[in-house]
Amino acid sequence: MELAATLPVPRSSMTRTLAIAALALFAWVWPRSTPEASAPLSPDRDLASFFPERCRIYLEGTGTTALFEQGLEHPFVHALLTSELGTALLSKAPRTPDQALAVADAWLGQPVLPLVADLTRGGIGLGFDPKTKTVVVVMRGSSADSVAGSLTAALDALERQFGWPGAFDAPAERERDAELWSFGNDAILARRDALLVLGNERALVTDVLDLAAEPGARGLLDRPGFAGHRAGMPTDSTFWVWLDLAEIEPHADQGFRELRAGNRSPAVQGILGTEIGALLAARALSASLSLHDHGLELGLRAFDAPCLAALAPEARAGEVPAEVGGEDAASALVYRDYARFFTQRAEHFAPETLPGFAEAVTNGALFFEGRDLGEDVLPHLSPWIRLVSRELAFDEGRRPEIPLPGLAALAVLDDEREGEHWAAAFQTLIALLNVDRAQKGGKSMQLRLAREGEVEISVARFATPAPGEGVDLRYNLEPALAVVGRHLVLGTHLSLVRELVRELEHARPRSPAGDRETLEVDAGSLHAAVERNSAFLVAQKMLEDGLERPAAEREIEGLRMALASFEGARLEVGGSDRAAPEVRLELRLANVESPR
Amino acid sequence: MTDALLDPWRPRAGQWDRAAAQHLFRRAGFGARPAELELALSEGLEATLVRVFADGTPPELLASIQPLLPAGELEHLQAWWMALILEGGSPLRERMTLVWHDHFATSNDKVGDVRLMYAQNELFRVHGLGDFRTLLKAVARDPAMLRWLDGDSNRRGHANENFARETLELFTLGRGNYGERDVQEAARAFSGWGISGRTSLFLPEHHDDGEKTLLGHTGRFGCDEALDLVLEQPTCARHVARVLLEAFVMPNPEEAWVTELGDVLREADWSIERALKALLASRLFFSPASRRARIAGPVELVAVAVRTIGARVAPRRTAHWASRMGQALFRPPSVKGWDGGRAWIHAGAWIARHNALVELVSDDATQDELARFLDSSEREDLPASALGRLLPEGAGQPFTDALERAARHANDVAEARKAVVALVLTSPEFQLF
Repeated sequence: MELAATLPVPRSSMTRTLAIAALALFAWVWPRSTPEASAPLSPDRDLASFFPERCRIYLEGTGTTALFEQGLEHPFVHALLTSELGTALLSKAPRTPDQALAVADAWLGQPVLPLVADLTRGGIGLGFDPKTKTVVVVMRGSSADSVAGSLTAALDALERQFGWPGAFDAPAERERDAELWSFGNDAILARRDALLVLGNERALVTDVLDLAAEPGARGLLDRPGFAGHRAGMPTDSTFWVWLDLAEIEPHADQGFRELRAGNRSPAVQGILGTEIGALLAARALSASLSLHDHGLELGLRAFDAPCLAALAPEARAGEVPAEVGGEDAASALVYRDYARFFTQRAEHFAPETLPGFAEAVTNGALFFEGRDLGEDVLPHLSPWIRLVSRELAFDEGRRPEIPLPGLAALAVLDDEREGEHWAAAFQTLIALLNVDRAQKGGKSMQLRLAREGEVEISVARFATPAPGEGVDLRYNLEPALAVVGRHLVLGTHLSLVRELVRELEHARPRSPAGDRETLEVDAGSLHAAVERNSAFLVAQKMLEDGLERPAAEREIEGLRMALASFEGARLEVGGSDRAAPEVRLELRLANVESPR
Repeated sequence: MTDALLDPWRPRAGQWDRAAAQHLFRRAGFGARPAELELALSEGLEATLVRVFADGTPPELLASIQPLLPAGELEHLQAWWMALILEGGSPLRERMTLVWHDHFATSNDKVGDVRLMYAQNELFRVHGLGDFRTLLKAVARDPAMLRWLDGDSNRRGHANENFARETLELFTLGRGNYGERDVQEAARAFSGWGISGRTSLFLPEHHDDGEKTLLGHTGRFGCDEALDLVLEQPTCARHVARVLLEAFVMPNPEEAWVTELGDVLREADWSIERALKALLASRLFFSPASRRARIAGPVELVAVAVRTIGARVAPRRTAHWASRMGQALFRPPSVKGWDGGRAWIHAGAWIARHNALVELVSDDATQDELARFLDSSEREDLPASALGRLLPEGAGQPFTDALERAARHANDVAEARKAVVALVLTSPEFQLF
């Protein structure tokens, strides 16, 4: 009819009528342009290629098929549901998981999980644009027919449940070889071939369909670093996330921006370690989550992270303290080159912070007999530090009413004689602290020497309280320092230092051999600490959160059960590339039973 | 005012109303929750007075601080006491504990021991409504007080006069009612007390047991004997009576009232409870001059606001509010305690009051209680409802007009409710108790 509108109109009415009729006949018989039959989407095409680059956050279910197929029998799901926490939560839920699934099945008219498994067999991904706050989900099924069938079932269920018979029998429109359904202004659903696209913005859905229409489109694969990180994703991951932090930052709140800015600073990287410190300041971050029957693993990997060269893994030197063999509540191996911090402070820190370093040097000289902290003391100390936390054995009458695990740090001196300077510094520190406490009317610590075999231990302790006076929190502190060979041991309690002295008796420091920074936590110890101190935690919650006692007790019990459900955790930090640090966190479930 | 100031008030029909009940609860405690107020109105004055004097704090709440004491955090202690003030069943006892905390002002800033501050607080709670003689003697040997006023370094031959001076000047007689010699002799009498761990103990070898002349009497007085001499002074009863009148009636009470209540106190053999029973039931207490005659201190303002609207707020948060307003529990600024009165409303404190009360009203957790408190879903009814419940004595027309404007201009009923209640709570009228 547009064609007709452009032709000259004959003058005679009869002729006009005949002309119009001819045009109408012509338009009717002219073969309509039939859409080219759309080429089926390649099942091997990367799911991320369907997502436009404006999706700065991308989440993909890389292993969710097994999760949907196995449902409650999935090893991780089963382990979680049978854990102490899972059992407790389920006991309070209005329905069991089986019952909840049955309700969903009845709603749909067929089993839900197999339908979802089929709809996502080729992958499921979610993209979020922080600028427009829009989201799109893309699911790829095993075939166009199966997706069409599953979609029909789902839409039929919607019609039944909401009393909209026939509302979704036919798509509202067709576009870019896809069928589209609208759900008011809230969502758009599109199906093309084996692809389902659901989004809350028409333009975003259209972008996905445009990429789907181009066989060679790369979508997110063209984001710097994306393809490389994706290729490096663990093969057993269940979920994988990509966060384009640099692009998210302008749309995030002030707190996020400050966090990223802070993580670029040498001070933060010096305290947290360069990998963890630089992680959130990276240009982008990927994370993978793997679910196993024994627990879960979370891996984080940064792209283009601003790690300080001076603190980077390849610049690491020094010796590693020997491993110790006790039952640790927690242990860690960290690398902190504070000597380099001091000597290179002008390079790494802002000028206004330098007086602080000067003050530290001056104060350090007070403790180390006039020696310069940065030039004469710290360089003799290896940057590798082993931290150990253990339950303490308290002397009679000195067990605190709020007992906490002890903590000790093990470091390596390049010369055994340096140990004497450290012992003297420790004793000076205690003496000065006592003067300060005396001036404020506080309790002083008694400084004395103890022995463990041939090793002399400097130790400070508060006077034993009289019966009935109560043993305050501060009795978790009985600082002690010992030097075992070239190992320097500084602990919060004499009994812990004694144990470590015994364990280090025949041990030697070693050269680093690809060591990574690690942290291991025994959840059982944390659980025991929470259980021991539950009265304190409950009372604190009542006063801080205004909870009634039963509610406070429920919260602390929930925390206890959560800890009881895990055996432990291990955090490992590393990475082969300074600009691509990696962090791996493993959480191990406790008392795992096999699935039925 | 006639001579029978402390004659019981016998309200005529309609006089025991919301305003009178609220006046009693605000002075004798920390305001009343809505249900308590309704009960008081239905039961009448006498039954309400019985309730006011009842001791109903659950032992569990009293003991809830025990697991926290070893941590040594003053904020725990502050929050715990606020919990007793807000939720405990003995508002008058907590009110008197606060009065004695201000009177025998002791700060953790110097004591530096949360357990000692707790012990002193318990001392005020246990003896606060009892015999003032017993209270005074217990305070004299309280470890926190010994440390605060250097009583633990008061030794024979090296007298430290701090405790003696403050006892005579601030705690018992008042300036002008003793001489400098009395301070020196009292210090000798108070000597020999020390602290071992957290317990006070008497060290005879450090006590000056020589002859002393104190307040016109000569003898080898020890601590208790010296305090007995002080208590015998007529000015002592008047001094304590003034404390009670300023706490419960108005600042700068008339001398006639002070004398009369002092006589009651002596006749009651120093029983604070009996003196208060006379005072809180008296015509003086319920007289128009006594109504809204005191500027509310921060702790009582926060507590009254929270309890009156029926809100549930974390005790720690309320303690923070009071601290920001200038009254940090367990940290009075000096041995004179808090100045009170107009000192509560200097510019900075006024802003802190405003902010805390607005925060209370704006909190999401308070909205359900606010809706129940005002009991009206029509915004045009909100001003009258708020005034009737929060300012039953009434308010001027300009203020009422301001409330109506605020209600009209709010986006919805919920915002109108917040705006109206916030305006009332932050008004000078509300903050006069």
